[in-house]
Amino acid sequence: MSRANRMKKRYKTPSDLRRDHRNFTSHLAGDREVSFDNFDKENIGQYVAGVESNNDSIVIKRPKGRLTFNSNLLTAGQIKFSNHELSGNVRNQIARRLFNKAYAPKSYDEEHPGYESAPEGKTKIHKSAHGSWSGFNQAKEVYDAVYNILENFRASKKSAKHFNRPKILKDHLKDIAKAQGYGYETNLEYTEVDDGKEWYNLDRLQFDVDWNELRQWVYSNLKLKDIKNPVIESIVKRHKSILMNASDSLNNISPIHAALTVALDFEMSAQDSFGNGIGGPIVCGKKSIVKTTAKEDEDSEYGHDIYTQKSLNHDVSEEDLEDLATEIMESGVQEYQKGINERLGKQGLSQITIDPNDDNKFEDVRKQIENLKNIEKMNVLCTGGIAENEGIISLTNSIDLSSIHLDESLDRANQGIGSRGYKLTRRAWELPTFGNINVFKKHPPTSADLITLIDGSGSMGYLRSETEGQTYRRHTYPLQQAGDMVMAIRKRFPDSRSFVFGDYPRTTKYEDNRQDAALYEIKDNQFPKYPASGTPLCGSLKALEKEFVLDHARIVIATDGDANWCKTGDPYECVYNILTSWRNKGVRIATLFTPNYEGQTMPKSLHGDVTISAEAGMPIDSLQIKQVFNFIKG
Amino acid sequence: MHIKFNPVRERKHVNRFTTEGENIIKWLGMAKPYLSILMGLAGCGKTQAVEEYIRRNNLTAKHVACHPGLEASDLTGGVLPKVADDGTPQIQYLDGPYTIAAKNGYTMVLDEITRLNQPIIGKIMSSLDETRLLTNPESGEDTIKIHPDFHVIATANPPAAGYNTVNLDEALKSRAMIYKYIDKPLCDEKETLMDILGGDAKYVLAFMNWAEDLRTDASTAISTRDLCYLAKMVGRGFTAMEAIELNYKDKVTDDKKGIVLTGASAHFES
Repeated sequence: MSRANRMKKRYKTPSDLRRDHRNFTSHLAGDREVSFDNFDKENIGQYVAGVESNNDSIVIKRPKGRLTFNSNLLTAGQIKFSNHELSGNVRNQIARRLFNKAYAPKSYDEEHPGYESAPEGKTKIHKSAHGSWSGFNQAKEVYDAVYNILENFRASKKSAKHFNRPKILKDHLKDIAKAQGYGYETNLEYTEVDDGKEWYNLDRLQFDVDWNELRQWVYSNLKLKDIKNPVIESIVKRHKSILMNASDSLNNISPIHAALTVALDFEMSAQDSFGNGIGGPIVCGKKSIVKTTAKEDEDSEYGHDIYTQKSLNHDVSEEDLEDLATEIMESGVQEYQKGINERLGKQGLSQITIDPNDDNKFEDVRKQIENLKNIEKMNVLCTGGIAENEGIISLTNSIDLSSIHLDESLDRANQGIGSRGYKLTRRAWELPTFGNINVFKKHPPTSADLITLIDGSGSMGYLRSETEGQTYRRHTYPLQQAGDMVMAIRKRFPDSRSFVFGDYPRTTKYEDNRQDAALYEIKDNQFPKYPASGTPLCGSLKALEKEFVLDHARIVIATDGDANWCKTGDPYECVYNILTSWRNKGVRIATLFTPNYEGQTMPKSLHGDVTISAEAGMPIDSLQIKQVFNFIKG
Repeated sequence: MHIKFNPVRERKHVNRFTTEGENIIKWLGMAKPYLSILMGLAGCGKTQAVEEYIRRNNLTAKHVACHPGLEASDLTGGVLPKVADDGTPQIQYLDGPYTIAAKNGYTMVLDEITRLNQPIIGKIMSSLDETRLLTNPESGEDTIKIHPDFHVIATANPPAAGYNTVNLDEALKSRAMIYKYIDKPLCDEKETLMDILGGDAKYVLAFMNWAEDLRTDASTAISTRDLCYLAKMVGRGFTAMEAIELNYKDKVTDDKKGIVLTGASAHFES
């Protein structure tokens, strides 16, 4: 068998291919969430495989069934090379800036205190934008459509180059050429502002847009003279140069800039058009719509008029448009850059400066950001240590532990996980020669065989006093459940160590050495008092790492939720990464999930070997204890 | 043709460093004789940079690879059996590599210092600050005079990043004139791979792009060392896919194997 043939069949089934490619694409997406939207095969042509970014989410659109390797790599590359985070920033800025340029009517402000007031002197825009940024959905929709077209084209070229597979681009171009308008036609609607009318009588202005025509023009499959949709025709005529540059550019900011410019022009022209005859010319109007194309909505019993607008008036000057687009771009880039630089600073890495006009430098910045994300996962900044408690309360069990017997043979077997025996050091020869008995050392792993860690955050509740416990038994707090489990474990495994984790004591004693998390030891039946805390789990895990040799240790973590405080950045990621590295070292982890209420979501960052769930409000039972013991025994 | 690239033959290569790597080599010399610690991921070129510093400056060096089972006597010296001149067995104190380096002004390279036990750190602590004293009561010398050229350079993998390491003692960190986290390869990977793969630029680019994809996430990030191994394997007749299956696939967790191989197939197969 030739080598080429041997290597040929890597994926034997379509499901393998789908799973591995899905994982590969998610891997390239890094910490961005990606979802998959599979369309039916009969709709191929009406939709094309590609990435659609909108409303802060990234969706990979592709046909159902097995795809070609290249088609999968196309979307993987589109994910890799796009800067959807920056695009999201800019997208949100559109609404913010347009809102400030427009208005919220005084009466609306009075009715809805807390909304941002309109700048003085601004007047009304379309109804849907009243007093809220979310009213600019039309502008966002235009932005999304244009951005996705331009970015998919640019990124498909990058994908083909990155994987050294020209066929990726060739196939993509074929797919686009076959695409029809159906899946990409939208109807954008604006509602007039007229306080004298009821909502159902308000006139509407509609734009029917066939985005596929814009896509075909961008991909050079359609000439300007052949474009039928007047809105697209007017967009292409006005923004020809910026659209062409965006699809040719190497950096991923150009498509954002182009989409932004088109969206702003569309929105402001539409607003201005509709301003005529209602509230007078508004934002920056020069001329307005003449309502000659009005038609009555035949389906409506209210008789309001719908104006189907054939084209944009483009009555905003190019200079004004460019100024606003530049202002929003700069603001979006600055905000993004600031966020990245803060994270770089935390890791002691050099800062970035994004220059949208410098293609070469841009690639370096992209790699630097990828590197940052990598470093963040490796370099945990959270710290912790064992601290003195602020007092002691008696830990009494609220369940009957008499059925738990100390089975020594089982316990001895369990010690096997860490070797309890004493080991001779290499100075053993001193024993017969000098009679030096100080030649033994304990094998390090035994010092951390079994550790229980209890979340000390406020949501875990508190331990009921003996008196309260007797008179009020209707509800058991998560902390009591965890405390009962600790008592059960300590009865069976007296050598085990148990801690509550929380914030560091606020006493002056620790002023110079206050860390992000503290461990308070539970000794015998003495439960420590500690300051009110959040859930600094990552710091607590680092404290364990510092205080014990964790190799082969077994750790039970009792909590009612994910970590919520973290110096590194994302507590979820941080805990997840620490536990991954522990598991690679042979540490075994069990989660005792003690929910606050029925149906509470389980903490996902604690991806241990086993999760034991207690019932909300109920004492732990023998089955849960048995499950924990089974985990400990391995 | 399923395999994208034509076979290449492995060529000998010299270490080529990035600007950052060259700076590290320069800075080590400037920090002498104070403690320098280079932290970084396995295989990023820390030790190579230290060795290059020693080579370029014609220094004599003692090396110790630190591990959890290492004892103070292995490093600074201890009472050990020795065959005397008359052939009889004797028990006598022998200097360890650290003490030898300290007395003679050598460079002491402590590789993987985060794997070293705390008792040993305590033992050498005073020799690393400005007092530069090495106390060794076991030898009968009590305080050893440290040579002015004695220079300790340590390398380490970061704690809690999948390595069997411990946190560095804060007091030890404070003694370091250079305490640098290496966040990118010190080796100029592209140039080095060009050397190994006989100047086949397309093959090199495929390796670099594949490595970039893997480095999107720490759990699959490939080290410079592994990247060079893969190139060498290709130069010895393995296909890139075979090399990756043999060298790298099983170094990542089960759930990441598919990512490694899908990426490899994307870059190295047509």
